[in-house]
Amino acid sequence: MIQRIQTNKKLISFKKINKKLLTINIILLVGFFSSQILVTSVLGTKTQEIDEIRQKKDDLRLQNEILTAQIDKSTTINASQELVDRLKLSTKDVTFLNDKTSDDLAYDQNQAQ
Amino acid sequence: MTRIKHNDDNLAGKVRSFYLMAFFMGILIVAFCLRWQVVEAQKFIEYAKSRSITSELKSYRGAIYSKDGTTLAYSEPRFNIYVWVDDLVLAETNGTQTRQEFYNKMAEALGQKPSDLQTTIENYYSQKIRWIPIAKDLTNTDYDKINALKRDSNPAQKLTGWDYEVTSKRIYPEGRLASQLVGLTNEVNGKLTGVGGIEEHYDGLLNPRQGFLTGEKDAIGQTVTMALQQTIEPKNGSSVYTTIDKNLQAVIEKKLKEGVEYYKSISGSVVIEDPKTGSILAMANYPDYDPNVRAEKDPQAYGNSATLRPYEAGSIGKIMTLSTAVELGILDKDTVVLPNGHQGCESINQDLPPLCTWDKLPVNGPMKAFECFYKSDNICFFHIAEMINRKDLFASFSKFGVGSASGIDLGRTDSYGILKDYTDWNIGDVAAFSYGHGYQVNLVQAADYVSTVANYGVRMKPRVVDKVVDSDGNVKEYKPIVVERAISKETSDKMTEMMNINFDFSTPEWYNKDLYNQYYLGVKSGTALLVQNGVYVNDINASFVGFDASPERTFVMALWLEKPENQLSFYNSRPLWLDMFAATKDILGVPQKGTW
Repeated sequence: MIQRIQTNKKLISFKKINKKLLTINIILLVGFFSSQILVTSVLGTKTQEIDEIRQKKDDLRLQNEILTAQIDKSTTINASQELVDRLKLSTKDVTFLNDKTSDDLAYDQNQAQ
Repeated sequence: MTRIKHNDDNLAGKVRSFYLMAFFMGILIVAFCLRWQVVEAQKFIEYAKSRSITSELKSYRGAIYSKDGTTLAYSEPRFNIYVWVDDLVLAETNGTQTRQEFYNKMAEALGQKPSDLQTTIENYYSQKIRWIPIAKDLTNTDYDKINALKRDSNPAQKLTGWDYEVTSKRIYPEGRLASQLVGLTNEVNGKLTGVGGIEEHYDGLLNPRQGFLTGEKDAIGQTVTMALQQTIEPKNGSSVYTTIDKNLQAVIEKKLKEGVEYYKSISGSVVIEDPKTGSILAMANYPDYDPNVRAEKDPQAYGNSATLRPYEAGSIGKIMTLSTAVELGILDKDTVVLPNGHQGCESINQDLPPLCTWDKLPVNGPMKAFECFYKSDNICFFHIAEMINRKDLFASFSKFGVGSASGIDLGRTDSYGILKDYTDWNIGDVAAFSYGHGYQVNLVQAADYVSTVANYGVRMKPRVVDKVVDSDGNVKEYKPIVVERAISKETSDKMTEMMNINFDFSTPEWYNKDLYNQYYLGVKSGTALLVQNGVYVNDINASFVGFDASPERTFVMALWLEKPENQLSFYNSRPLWLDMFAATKDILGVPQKGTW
């Protein structure tokens, strides 16, 4: 008899627990769906942005390679000769000062100022 | 009491219902798992694959530069153009672009006829191919033309129905210049692999690291932000900076070509080295090839003969014989080697043919060491070698680098001949070795042993690369490496003096004497008979070596002409060497007499 009553008491406590569990479940479900909506709304819209940035990065990398190749090409003997011909450049003899103690005082005067 | 029992039954029923539901749910889950994991597994694998992306991020092989930083080889982005038929169909269905419009505009940009382009596309499409290649290896300029194409219906929008793939092409902008030295690349399994020269030796450093991007796409093809993504960034290959002076290289290549043709040689090679550092300043061979075209049929054109083909260099080897005798204190410049001269030919052994000088003329009176040297007298040199202990001569030749690889950083092309162990030498070997026969060296080795004399007796390891710079800008410098001291500075000075006497005899009055008198040089010629079927024939290898004997020691130059028409180096390799010197002295900065 005592056991039955105890069981009955347990039944009553189960109900309470069930209610609590239900509340927790509802809170968890609401939290889960809210977070999903939040994440989707915040990060989901960034997808296109990320794709665009990645594409831009690839394009810039390619442009960089194209420019590097153009620089490499421009240093060839033929390219230099074309430049000389186009700009009608000619060789000039340049006399360099040996050192700053030279009789030509241009360097020293500048230093003095 | 009854109420309590009723509640108890109620609880039991609820529990049973729960268990039953859980059981059926479990069955359902297992059933679905079976369906997904087993029955329709393949379908879902394919589905997942279609959503995951792995794309290759292009990277490029490193460039090769000359000493002054100008380019010898580089990789250039190129574009392969494809038609994506689905986009063409879609644009036509939407009424935004007709196919004919696409054919007309694209064909014009590609320099094709619209009808030809249409035929190409239709042929592929008839085989159910929808990703159709229509152009390959387009330059950036060509690609820009295509990228600028617009639709008639809306000029603000690009022409649709095509896409591109980026590839790379190896370019050798100077064409034939230093072609054998730089090497070339072949494509193996979609990857460029160096073949010969610097391209091969530094292949591991020049090669790029491909990048990869992995991720997931959603149903409409957009990247899933939350999915796991991984990017391996691409890394370009390192840039290799050589010791080659491009201007010098261009001048000697021109001179060498002229010389080979003028003296009717089969081929020719020349090496210019800085004796102080072992840096190769220029290295040329003729015939050569254009690595961009590769049209030459002669296989010899593709090999770097200066390192690949050891040969009997002849009398330039007398430099080592004489150096050894001087180093051992056996003789000096004015030491009389043959008090009574010789008869032009001399028997050294009953079983061997007589040993002769190149002109077979007798010499009356005593012959001093320096006379033996400038006259390049084989009989005299045999007697010098006889004065040297065989073990010492062998050791000295080895110190000069004979019989071992030069160590030049050109990989597999560094071929060399063996030097027979001195315990196996007979009198014939001693005679042959004394005047540069009986062993083989490649031209870099020849330049190297002359460099040893020029560098006050210290042999440096020859090298063609100065530094390597990786794509992050990290610099790895290759410092000059001392191999060993072969002779003392005193011996080097004495040899320099005797080689300078040779130079005075090499520039007769009729040969622009005024020009050459302004410089202090040391030289030696070499004529070696060629061997065919085990016997010497009349054809020759003509060599000439020399260096700047001023304190600057700016250069060593070694020249080899294979089978020139005239059979004496004095009349082919010598004038060509002197021509080359005259053409390059200012580039090399060779000081004139009286300036030090």
